[in-house]
Amino acid sequence: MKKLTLFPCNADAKILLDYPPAFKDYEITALSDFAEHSARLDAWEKRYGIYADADADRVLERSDALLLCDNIENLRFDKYKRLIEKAAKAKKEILLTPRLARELGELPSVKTNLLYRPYPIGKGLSPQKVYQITVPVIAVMGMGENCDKFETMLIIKDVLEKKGYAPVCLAANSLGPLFGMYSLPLELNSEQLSMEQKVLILNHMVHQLCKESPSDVIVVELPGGIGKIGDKEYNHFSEISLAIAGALSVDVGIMNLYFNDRLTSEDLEQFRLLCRWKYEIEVEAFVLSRQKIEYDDEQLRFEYLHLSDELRKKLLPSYLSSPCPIADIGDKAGVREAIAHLIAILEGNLAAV
Amino acid sequence: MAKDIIFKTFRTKLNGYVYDRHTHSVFALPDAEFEELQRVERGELLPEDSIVIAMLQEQGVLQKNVVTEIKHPSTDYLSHYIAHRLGQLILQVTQQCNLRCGYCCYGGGYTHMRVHANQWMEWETAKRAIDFYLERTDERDTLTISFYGGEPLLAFPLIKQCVSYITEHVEGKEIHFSMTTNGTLLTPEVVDYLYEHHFHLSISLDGTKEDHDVNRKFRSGQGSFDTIMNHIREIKEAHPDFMKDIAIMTTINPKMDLGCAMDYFEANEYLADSRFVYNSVATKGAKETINYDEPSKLLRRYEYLKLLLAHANMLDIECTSALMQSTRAHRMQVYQGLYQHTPLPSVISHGGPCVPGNKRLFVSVDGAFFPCEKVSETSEYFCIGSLDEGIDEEKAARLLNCGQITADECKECWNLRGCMMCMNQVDFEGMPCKADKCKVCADEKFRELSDLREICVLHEFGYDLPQEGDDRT
Repeated sequence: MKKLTLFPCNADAKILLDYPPAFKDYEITALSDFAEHSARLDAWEKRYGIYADADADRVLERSDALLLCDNIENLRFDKYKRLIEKAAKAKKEILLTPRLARELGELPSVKTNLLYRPYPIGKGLSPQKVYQITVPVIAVMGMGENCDKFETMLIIKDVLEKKGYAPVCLAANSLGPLFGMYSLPLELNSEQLSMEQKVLILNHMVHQLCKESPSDVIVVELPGGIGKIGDKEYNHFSEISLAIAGALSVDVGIMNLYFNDRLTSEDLEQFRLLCRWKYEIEVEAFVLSRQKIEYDDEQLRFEYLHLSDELRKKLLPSYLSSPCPIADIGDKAGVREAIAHLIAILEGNLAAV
Repeated sequence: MAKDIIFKTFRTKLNGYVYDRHTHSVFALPDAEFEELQRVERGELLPEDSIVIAMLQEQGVLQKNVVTEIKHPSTDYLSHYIAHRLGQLILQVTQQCNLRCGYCCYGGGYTHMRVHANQWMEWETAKRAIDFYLERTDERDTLTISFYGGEPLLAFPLIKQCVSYITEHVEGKEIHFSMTTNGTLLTPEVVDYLYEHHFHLSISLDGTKEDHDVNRKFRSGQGSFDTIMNHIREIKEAHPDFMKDIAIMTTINPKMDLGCAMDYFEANEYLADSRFVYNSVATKGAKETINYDEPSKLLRRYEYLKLLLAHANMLDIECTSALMQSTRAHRMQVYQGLYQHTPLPSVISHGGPCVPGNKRLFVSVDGAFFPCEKVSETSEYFCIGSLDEGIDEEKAARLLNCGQITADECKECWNLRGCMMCMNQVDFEGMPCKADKCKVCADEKFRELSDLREICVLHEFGYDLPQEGDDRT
């Protein structure tokens, strides 16, 4: 087993520690972070019992491989580059995502392993045809970025597998391949391809996947958000989500919401209506994420507050009634119950010939 | 009797308008309808008997008062802000200054403000403050550290120690350093250092030599203008691109000729790349009345008129003065608020107070915490903790919820949504009471009503809300 160091200790790294991937070849033996996050490092060392050190040399001494998580906290790339340089010099394996590789720019003479696992698109398919996907599809959607969609996917995968189903997961999150998931094709992010082309590419990929790797259910993560947030965040006009909804006939959806202590049942119903009419997706469960968003008038962007479980529990509106199951992401039993509700809906479907 | 429907009427030359508190909207009404609302406002007609109100309610405005509690919406998240999202750290590195400016709030001319003192922040205090800050900014991607005084450059060695410490201990976040200085200690060695570390600098300069030296003097009584301008010339020669990161801070005061000062700045080649910020001498707590002469008032009114003409597309915005910068920003803020039409929630507070710590954390020489550098350091009310105790959440929440001091009044005040009252505007002894706060209410209402009236007049001239990035802002 190769000893693996994770850097930095952000929400993506936390996913890997809270939901350890069934690594065949790696064992997480060290954590590293930026120097100013020493308090966080100490806390993680205590919590996970894994050696944690901001010093790049010390941490690389203890590992055979380095996994660099995406820069979701929007920090400087200097330490990323320094770590890559040191790791390459010490002949350590370097794992990173395509997004991070793109952001880091050219890394001369450094061999890296990209965390990217699309399914190859089949040959011989009719280029303009949208094939019917005959496997049930569950969509994991959200209000925007950083609303715990990937964690919800992991729980869905686990619930399905424990029920004896063989799900195939298509993840927007770069960590997906570490959990045996396929990556959404990078073509969906292309600025050169039309919406139509993106729909066909994804449809053909999934059609091929269903033919060659029979599965009971497909779980797909819709990246970003399903709509604008006021007039401050466009969420790229949900282009990729629309493409996915066009490529796959989604049977049922679960929607992640940013934490909001003023959420009402009317809001939830409005979300369901939006998804029904815009995406033809019936949302049958909600998950409240850890993140609360606030617009910063000086930075001119939304800021994410990562609220503790205790604070969210204290502030969750007790009067909230929902048209379908709703659970806080920290309430694992509640989330599993909400997912079970989705599965029950699919199990109740007639198996038409 | 409690007010059920809360609104405010006002007129321009052309139209009668009503401001609806519930949707934070302003709309014009035909004369007859406007007059009926005025009758309701004067108590001559009951709201339930008004046909106009009934009609407007059907369109979603003038709804019944829903406010049940005055509480700042950030209160429940205060613990989170304090633990993870501290904003700008301001270190009071010294209380001493090498100048004795006539209008300085630390010069003994203000009640409840400290005076110049030979107090200096120890390195251990600064280090603890920085560590405290770094431990509580994990959700931030940018750190802002400012150095304050007195004259902060008197403690230049300490500033260098702080900068070194921070840069050694921060790898991921962008760091912004800033300082306001009287400009007299900007030797080449100091300037080289500040330039190398990308400091954002504000230099206090009040215009021509005559305008500046009338107030801003060394302790010897000699004016500081020549010293400052020499340093500025040196900066321009050694680091010409640094000038764009330097703001010139001018304190408008009764002894200066504002017009001369503005002309001087415009003509001065060394200041051509700099930004100008104008502030007025503080009046709150001043022991002597501050009176401006007519030419000064006239000049400000003239510049204000130019701003209004620019908003009405009758004058190029480039022709307006930096004197009006804060007015422009405020106007935009008011207009953008009106544009939203968001319904009033049942739990709300007036604007004005920032979230203590989240916006700024001011650390005094001896390690006491305050929400910013503007508040009185001698007031227990404003002290929100210390390095030894941490940030006292109860005290921070009390500051944030200053609206609760006048909760009953605020629930029925038409200006609840426009009010921007911060407790620093309120004159009080010990702990503030309702009477103290209410004295400022009238000013806030007058300001908001003036803003609303002017926005409507501008609208009549075709002024539309500029988009973000629009030059007209």
